[in-house]
Amino acid sequence: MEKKISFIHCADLHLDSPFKGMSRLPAHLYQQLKRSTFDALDNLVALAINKNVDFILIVGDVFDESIQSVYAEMQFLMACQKLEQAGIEIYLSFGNHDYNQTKQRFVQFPDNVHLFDSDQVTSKVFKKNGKPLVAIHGFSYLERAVTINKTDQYQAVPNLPYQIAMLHGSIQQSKEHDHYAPFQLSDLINKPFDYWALGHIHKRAILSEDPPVVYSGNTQGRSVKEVGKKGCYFVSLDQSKKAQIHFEALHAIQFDQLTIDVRHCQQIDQLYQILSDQMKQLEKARRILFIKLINYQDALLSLYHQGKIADLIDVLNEQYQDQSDWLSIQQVTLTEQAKSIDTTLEARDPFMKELFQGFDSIDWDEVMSELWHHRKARRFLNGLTEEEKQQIAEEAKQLLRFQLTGNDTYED
Amino acid sequence: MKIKRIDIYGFGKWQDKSFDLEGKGFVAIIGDNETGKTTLRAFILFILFGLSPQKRQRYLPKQGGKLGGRLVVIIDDKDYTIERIHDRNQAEPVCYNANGQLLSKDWLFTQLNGVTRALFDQIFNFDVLSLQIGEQLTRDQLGQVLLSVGMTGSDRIYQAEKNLKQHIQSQFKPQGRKPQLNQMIELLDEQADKVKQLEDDIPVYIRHQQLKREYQKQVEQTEQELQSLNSSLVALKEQQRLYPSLENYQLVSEQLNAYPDPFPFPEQGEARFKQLKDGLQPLEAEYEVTLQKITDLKTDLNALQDKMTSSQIKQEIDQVLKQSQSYLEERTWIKQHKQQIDEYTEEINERLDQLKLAITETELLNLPFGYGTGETWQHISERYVKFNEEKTILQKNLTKLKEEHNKQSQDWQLLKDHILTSFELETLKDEKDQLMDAITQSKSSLSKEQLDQLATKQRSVQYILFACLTLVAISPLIISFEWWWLSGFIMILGTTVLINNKRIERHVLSMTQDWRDQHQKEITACIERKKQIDDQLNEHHTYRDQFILLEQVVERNETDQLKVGQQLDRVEQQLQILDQSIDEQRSLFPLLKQLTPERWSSLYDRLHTLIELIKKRDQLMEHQQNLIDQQGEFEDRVQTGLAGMLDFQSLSFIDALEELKTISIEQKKLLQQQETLTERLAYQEEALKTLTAKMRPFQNEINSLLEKAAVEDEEAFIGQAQAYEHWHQLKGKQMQLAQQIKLHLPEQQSEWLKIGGHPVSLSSIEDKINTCQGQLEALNERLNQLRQQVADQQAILKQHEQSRQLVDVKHDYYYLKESFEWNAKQWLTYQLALKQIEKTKEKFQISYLPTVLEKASYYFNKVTGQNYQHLFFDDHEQRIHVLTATGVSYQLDELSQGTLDQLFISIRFAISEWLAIHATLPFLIDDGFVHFDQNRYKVIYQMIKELKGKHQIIFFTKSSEIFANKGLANQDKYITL
Repeated sequence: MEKKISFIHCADLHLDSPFKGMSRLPAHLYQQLKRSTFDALDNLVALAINKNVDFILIVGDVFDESIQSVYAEMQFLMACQKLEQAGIEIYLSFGNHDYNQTKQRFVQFPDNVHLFDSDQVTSKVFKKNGKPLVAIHGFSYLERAVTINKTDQYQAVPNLPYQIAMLHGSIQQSKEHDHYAPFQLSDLINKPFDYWALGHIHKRAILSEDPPVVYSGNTQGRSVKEVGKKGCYFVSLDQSKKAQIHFEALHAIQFDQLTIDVRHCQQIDQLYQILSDQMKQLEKARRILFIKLINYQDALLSLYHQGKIADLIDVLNEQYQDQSDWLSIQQVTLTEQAKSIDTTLEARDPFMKELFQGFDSIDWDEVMSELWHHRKARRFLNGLTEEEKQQIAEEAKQLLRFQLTGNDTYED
Repeated sequence: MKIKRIDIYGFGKWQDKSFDLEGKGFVAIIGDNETGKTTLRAFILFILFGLSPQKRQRYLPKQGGKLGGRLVVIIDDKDYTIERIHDRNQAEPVCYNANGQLLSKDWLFTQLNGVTRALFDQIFNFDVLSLQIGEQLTRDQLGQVLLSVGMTGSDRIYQAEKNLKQHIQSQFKPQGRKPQLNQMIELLDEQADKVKQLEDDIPVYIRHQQLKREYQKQVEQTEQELQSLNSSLVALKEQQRLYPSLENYQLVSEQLNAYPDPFPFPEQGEARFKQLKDGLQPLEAEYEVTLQKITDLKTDLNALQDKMTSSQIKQEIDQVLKQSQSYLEERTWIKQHKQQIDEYTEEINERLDQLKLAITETELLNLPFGYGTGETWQHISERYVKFNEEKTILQKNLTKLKEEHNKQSQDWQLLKDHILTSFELETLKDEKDQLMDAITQSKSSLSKEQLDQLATKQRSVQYILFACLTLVAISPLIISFEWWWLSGFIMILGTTVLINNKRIERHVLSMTQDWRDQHQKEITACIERKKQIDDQLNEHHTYRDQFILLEQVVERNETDQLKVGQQLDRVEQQLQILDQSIDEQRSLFPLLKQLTPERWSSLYDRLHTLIELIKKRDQLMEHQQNLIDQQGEFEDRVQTGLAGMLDFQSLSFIDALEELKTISIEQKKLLQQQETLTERLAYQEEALKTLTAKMRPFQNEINSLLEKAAVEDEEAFIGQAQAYEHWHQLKGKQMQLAQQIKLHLPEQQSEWLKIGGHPVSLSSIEDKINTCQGQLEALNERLNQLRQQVADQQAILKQHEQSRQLVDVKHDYYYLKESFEWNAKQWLTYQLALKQIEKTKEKFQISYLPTVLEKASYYFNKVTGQNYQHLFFDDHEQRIHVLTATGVSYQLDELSQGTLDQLFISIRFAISEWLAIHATLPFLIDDGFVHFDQNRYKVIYQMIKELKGKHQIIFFTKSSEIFANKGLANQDKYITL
């Protein structure tokens, strides 16, 4: 019984991180959103105290590198102090977003914070009731990128019941995250460790059950790419070495993407009904919704480009945004057109055919240059990803369909 | 697809109408205005593409019936049926194949190959002359023509272009200020500046943190200096404060020099001496008093002993007095005994008198009473009385019964006279029976009623007879008048009979009355006799009951007399037996003879009581005598023993005893006084001892004090004590001052406590204080400044820590940036759409126009009878030209109107053919050739023929003459409405 431990594994708090894709959130809700990463931190502290865990593992990216604020540092410090009062230890490493914290830090952490301040893997021993019980291994980023595989540096400390590793990185050959301490899952599994606490990837995932190799994901969603509940894992380990892993939500505001089939929807009131029903079905929580309407009909396309759908969203948002568990639709997009008469039209009508064939060879530079190369605007605009370009092209096609054929009546 | 047959159930003006098109390539529908051409065309479109419910309302059959119908079409040489009905399945198409099998919903959609109503209208359903083209057909214009004939139409494309441009310009202008994106760029610029200003948050914070640390360090140093200076000032102020003490110390030290040190005097000697004296004084006083008391007590005791007698006499007196108590009690008893004896004697005499018996006390005491004597006497007496009483009662009863018997015998005799004998009784009963019979019989003979009935009967006979006679008398008259005499005879005869009969009647009545009177008399006599007999019988019955009762009473009386006689005999026998017992008792106790047995019952008890009384009196007399003897004995002894002490001559013995008692009491009182005095004496002697013991330590202590003070007496001791007190005070004061100095000025103590001469002056101390205070003020001021600086830095740090300004500005910046990016993407979408339209338009004109022109040239060549060979664009002029067969080129404004019409028709056909390549649907063409001459019709036909190879042509026209004899083939179909 004495050797049983419980801890929280979290990562990627990204305190004070900016949010993406927010363009139509009302001011009072945006105020809440701005606080949400701190609220998630408060929730983490409350959970740790409530569960009376032995320690917390924070696997990198506590802060966001964009522009650091003293406020964020202080909030984290206060959280640490609260945990110190509750007798909870914190094992902390910095990641690619807060690597500069390792070198330049003006805040003196309380004694319960055990920082891995080296870029080499080191070990710290957690003692329970004066007895050494857990060896916790980890490292921090000193630069923005760590390109080498750190797996070999993780060496178990002998004569301790538990070995836990903290690693902020991503699996090798991952396209998007190549420069972040790449590792092979098999290497981790083969190490004599009881738990691999991973950070960096914001979508939580259990890569392996035995031994557990776990991404806890981030604690608060920040864009449509980070949807669903966000939080941490509450982990219990005992002598059987079988880890009990439970996800615990910490987010203050949830991002969600809904994909709604609207193939039978021709009129705005039908769409209202569908969206209204969908929103009623959602579990009560503070949410920011991104809605994809699939299999849309031409009528809906017309409504979309006439701004009627935007008006509808405003109406729906007004209904929900003053509730305590508010809900705000941030964006509605039409993504897949229903198999309709007009799609064949594109093949029939030479102009349309030609028009849409033209989308296969877009000279983006030419199209974008006016704004993207504008003297004042260019510093606020990034280049577009292929995905974004594809999306814009698709929307332009929709727009053209609407402009050229929308609002058509079939009869004379 | 070719239409084979049209069946209209109801559609506008058409009702139950069928048209057989036979699937011909060319079908001309001929009819004047208002004959229903347009409605028929609308019907075909309705079946193929449907109509909205609102629009269907327009075509509801005028005469009622269902709206709808069907088309039979040929596709790949197979027949299919397409049916739509207004109120069935929401007018959705229902399709069957030739076998009548229902086809899927999408079948029609597939067969139409995606062609919508709009597209169909653009391509297949057209008016040839609807093209309005200017006379100078430029490439752009022709491009527009192409676009206008396309599904979207040039207008739509241009409108779209315009909309997109407008939107783009409302969003962004490279040099603008108002468009949304331009405004956002401005805002972003501002926000970015703000962020830039604030983004040094952490370095600034660190700088302030360092500053704060420096100030804090300085504060600490200054505080230390201040503390040291403060200590100096405090020390100086203490010196100032304690300066009077220093002066006092020196003064006291000088005074102490006059006394030896140490001073020889016991500790607290004076107080102790005084205390001892105070303690001894009351003890000494008490000692004197106690001594005096002892002397007095001894004097009293001697005087008392003189008054007291010797102890032998005292014992004698006590014994006599003790015995005199029983002597006096015996005297009382003797008196009481005498009184009781007298009372007993009186009662005995009284009782003896009451008995009235000649018997003495001695005889009485000698009576031979045995066990049960009393009961025997009692028994005899009671029985004697009882039997005599019973005897008397029984005798009385017997006498009474005898008297009653005599009286009853007399009554019995009287009653017996009133009662009938049995013979008399029987005789009377027989007579009565006979009388009853006699009365009954007289009543049963002929009664008056019977006589009346007889008389009535007789009268009836008379009437019948009279009637018969009358009838007989009349009958001869009726039969024949000749028989009148016979009638007269009969009548006379009849009258005679009647009269005779009346006489007999009167006789019978008289006889009956006589018999009645006699009979009544006899009955009356019988009734009276019967009444007498009844009275006699009643009287007999009444007395006979009383007689029987009396007879029973007499018998009972006789029985009672017999019983009483027997009882009397038995009582007398018992009396005789009792007399024997009486005699026996009287012989035993002769005194009983003086008494009748009635008085015996209580005699025994009374005699017994009397005997008991005599015995008790005799006992008392004996006891009294004993007591008298004891008294005499005691008196003699006292008189002998106390002869010298008391005068027995003049005093009675009782008075002498009283005198003796008084003497005894006095002696006892004297003895008690002696004991009390002795006790008090002993107590006082003990107290004297205690006092002596108490006084001893005091005296020892006083002696010791005197010795320690080295003096002889008390006076000298007190003088020495005063000197010591002064010395002690000075010593104490000196020590107090030294302590004060040591405590408050530990550093200066050695200097200050040296005796003789002042170590420092007061003025020098005051000077030092002033200097120190000046320094302190300066330091304090500096410390406050530093502290303020620390607080300022702390406030700045706190502000940084709590400030969300950067957080907010940063978020707002990113929010704005996000919005800007989003809007930029929106702009890009529009921009892309616009660019694509523009590009397509350009390409369209370049790529497709030649194809259409080539086809149009082909038709134009045909329609103009090969006069014109070719259509082409003059690249130089950017205009369309026509080339004649002779190779001459003309601009369009050089052509006649007719030729231009032909040209436009050619272009229209070319465009339609070009557009229709993907769907072989029928062309529905309105008559546009009204003003064409015959040759041109022919050409039109040729062109149509070109088309009908692939498409069915349904041509709606006003006049049948148009195509009559105009060379159209026979296999084409003409339908006249």
